[in-house]
Amino acid sequence: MRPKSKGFFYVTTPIYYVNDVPHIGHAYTTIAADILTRFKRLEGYQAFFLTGTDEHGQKVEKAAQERGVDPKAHCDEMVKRFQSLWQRLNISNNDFIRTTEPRHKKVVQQILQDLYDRGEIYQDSYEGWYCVPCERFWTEKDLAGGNCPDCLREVVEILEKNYFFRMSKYQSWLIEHIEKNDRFILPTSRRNEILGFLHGPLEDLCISRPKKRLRWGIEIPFDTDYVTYVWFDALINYVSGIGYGSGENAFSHFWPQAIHLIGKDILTTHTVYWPTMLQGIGLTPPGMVFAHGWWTVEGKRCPNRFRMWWSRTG
Amino acid sequence: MSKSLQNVVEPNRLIDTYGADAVRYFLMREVPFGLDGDFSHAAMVNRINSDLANDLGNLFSRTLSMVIRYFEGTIPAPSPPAEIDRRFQEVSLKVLTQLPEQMNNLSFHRALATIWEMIGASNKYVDETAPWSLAKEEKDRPRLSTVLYQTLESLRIIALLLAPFMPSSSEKIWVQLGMEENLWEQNMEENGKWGGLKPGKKVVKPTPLFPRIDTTKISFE
Repeated sequence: MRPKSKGFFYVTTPIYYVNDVPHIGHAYTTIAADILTRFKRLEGYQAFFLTGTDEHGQKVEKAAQERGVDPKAHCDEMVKRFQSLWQRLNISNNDFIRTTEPRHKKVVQQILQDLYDRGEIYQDSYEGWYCVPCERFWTEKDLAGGNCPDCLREVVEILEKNYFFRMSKYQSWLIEHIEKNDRFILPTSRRNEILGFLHGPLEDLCISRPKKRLRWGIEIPFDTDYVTYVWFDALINYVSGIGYGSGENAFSHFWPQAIHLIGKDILTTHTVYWPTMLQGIGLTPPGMVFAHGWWTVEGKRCPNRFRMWWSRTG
Repeated sequence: MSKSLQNVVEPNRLIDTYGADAVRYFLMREVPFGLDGDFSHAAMVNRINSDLANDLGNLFSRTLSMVIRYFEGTIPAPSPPAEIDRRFQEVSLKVLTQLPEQMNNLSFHRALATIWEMIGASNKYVDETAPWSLAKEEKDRPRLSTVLYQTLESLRIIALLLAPFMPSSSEKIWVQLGMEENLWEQNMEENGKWGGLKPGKKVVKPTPLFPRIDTTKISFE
């Protein structure tokens, strides 16, 4: 029999964009998380391994529309490709969270309301350029020949009211946190990258999308004309998946010593947005964010299929 | 990247071609976690043939075959260890001390290289002790028992350490060594200690763990 537990251990993968076709990058992160979890279990830890899918956003809405099905029904179908692949790869995750689940939506709305009540969220108008396919805002200087610098498609000019999270006020706290905890961001090259990024001014984060433009998202509890920005929604899975706010013991056992395994393309969301969001609601940041590299195939680069992020200034 | 190139590395197709454990092994062994890497079928086949089929698969099948041939499949009881046996045991001790830290640093490729040091040491031990020669003389019977017990015991520890990386293959090794305890209920520190294998238990006739891949017979189109 196993001796008494050595303690708690918590590993996560990013939640994968449900519209994506599972590729080698998804498999890589998930295999690494599985190996780490299995190792810790054999060491005698009570280890929890969470993976899942990110199911909101314009692309999902559009794909469902094109097929003439309800977005949730579309997700229910698409999610199986991930779940069956994990089964074939012998992945031993303890739970699989989907952002369309009530247990997740409830926590996202609870956190939004909490931040709003604390004065951490305010309304302001946003003026700039928007790329519809990328769901991303750009400033004038970002544009490439008047087009989206990412996909080179046309952008539209918009002026609209949105809600912003006071991320900027946490800048010096975040720098200090990173400097004091040398295992918070690994490898060290990534830590330096983020410290470099934080040399410039940190903007507030736009966390809403007007429903007239996007309906397939989590409604903002204090203004039902809006849904939540997808990244704000997605990051919260790491706490909603272990029962934050539900009074369950799991949360107090597994937070904050979480280890988030990610690809290096989503470093900023995980090491800037996420810790400041947590700080805003009075939670400790995760223990470690480890960003792995990219795979080329036979010398050629895989497409970056992780969702892009944006901030107030793009 | 072209659509067709993407298809040949589609994870389900990789599993169909190479098996889940080989895919898991390759991705973790080939590139240090944190750096960029390149996936190529040639590198994958090379890892399977050299690391999995030659080093690990061979050690497993030749050891079990000898136990079946010389002891009718019953795990022999070891005699007191000689110098070469003690040195061999020390390798597993070293591996067990290094592994937890490598894993805490998410240095998966190092952890695997460390486990492979133990596989290499086991193959070397078999070559140097030459059990097939010991089997010729009745007076060498106690020595033969010790050598085969030691090799089987090393395989048991290897199966335990490799379990997180290659769960199905490790389970296969574990069960064929006659281990009745559930592999996933083991404790690495406790059950990784030398001497856990019970003499008198029967091993199972080995089935090939990792068949060699004939590159002329495989098509990636």
